[in-house]
Amino acid sequence: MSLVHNHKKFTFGRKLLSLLEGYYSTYLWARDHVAPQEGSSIIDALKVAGYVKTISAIIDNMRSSPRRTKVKKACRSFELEGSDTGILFTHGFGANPEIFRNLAEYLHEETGYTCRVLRLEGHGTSVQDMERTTFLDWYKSVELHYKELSSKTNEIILLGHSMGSTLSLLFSVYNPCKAVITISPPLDLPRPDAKFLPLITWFKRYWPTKESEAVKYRKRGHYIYPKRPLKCVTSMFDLMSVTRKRLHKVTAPLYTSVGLKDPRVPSNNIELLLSSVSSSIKRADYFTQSTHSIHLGPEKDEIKRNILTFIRKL
Amino acid sequence: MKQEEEICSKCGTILRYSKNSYIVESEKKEKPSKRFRRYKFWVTPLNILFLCLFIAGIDMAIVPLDAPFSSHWAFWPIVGIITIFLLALILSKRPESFWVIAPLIFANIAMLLYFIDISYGENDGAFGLDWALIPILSLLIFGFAIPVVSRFGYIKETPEDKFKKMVGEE
Repeated sequence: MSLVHNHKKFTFGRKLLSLLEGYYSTYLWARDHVAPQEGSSIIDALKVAGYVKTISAIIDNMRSSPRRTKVKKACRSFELEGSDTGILFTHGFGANPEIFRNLAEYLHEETGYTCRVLRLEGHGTSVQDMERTTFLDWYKSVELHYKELSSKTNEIILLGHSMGSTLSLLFSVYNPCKAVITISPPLDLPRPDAKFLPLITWFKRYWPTKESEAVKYRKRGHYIYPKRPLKCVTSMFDLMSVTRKRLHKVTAPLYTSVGLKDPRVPSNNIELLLSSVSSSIKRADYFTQSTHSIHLGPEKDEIKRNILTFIRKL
Repeated sequence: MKQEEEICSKCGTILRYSKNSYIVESEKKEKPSKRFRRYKFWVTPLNILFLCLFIAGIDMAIVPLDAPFSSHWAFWPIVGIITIFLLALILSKRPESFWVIAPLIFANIAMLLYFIDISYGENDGAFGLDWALIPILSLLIFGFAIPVVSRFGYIKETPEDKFKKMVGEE
């Protein structure tokens, strides 16, 4: 039975009644189950209903913030069908597949390769959904898409940006690939406060994204989380630690690049990478005008061409 | 390759799709999510305030108070409700803190029982206690000592170990 049903015309009345509806249904429940004793009045039953409502509100508020798992339309994984060679794109921390749209289309057009841009678990949904993920879940996402792509193609090139490139490097240790292409790979960030992150997460769950960065992403038409879960930041540092220990096992041809104006990933990460991997083919590019997202910045055409040249030489 | 450009009417995000691009099938599926009705952040504190006012009102209505802001018995349920709410709030926001808060609660309950026992009735048992010795020991051992020792003795799997297990690396 709905109280709202007969009052559709009055918006305020409807809102008020919809507020009361919960109480009314609780009252009905209370009348039948809680206060059926002889002599009990409606007022008594309403008192009980008030308590029930309060208790249900307390229980409900004990749950953490709503976790939306629906992937936003602009953040879905996508694929550009092509030949039997595949390129698997992995985006960075807090980003989504759309940041690779231009690069994937360019490489697909030029090489004809099948390009799949994956979405990492917890990305493109909600911050609360991301919070429950770790680098193990992100690794599983790469694994899942790699398997799907390898069923269509004979050989796969792994391409990643930022944390995605670290994941690609780690993934190449355990799975065959034609080459690994990394853009701004973080391997050892100079953040002494990272050690205290697990402690900080006790007091602060999220760290807001810089407004200037958010504006930059929005201008490009990319969705970005307004805040980042610190648990995931901790997990990203774990990923870097795990990857650093296995860099010597990377044997696939390697292309890497870094922006010299990058405030997050200093260029010594590239030197660490080049000196650690066992690849026979290594190429590194330094972009003087670029920041973290080289493929979206002022030197995007240059990096596209360089990646294309590297792929063609394989 | 011809590109189509469209803008999302809801969020203003530019959605671009080339003609041979398609969304990966697994992305279209939404994970099922069941939950209770959500409330605004002020609902529970306000409801608790009303509840406390109601309790205080009953207290005052039965026997008029001698002085304002005093109570016969309402102080205890009000403080209890607020304490439970605050604990629930802390635990909901920081579930990891449960192992810190829960032993403290048990230790506090044990202390409360101790004071109640020594304040009322006979005190001819051990430690000047009467009936509270067994509940206090139970609370301290099962609610405080065992959880704290177990927590400190727990061998936590490092991310490195978890990863090794996942990829089957020795």
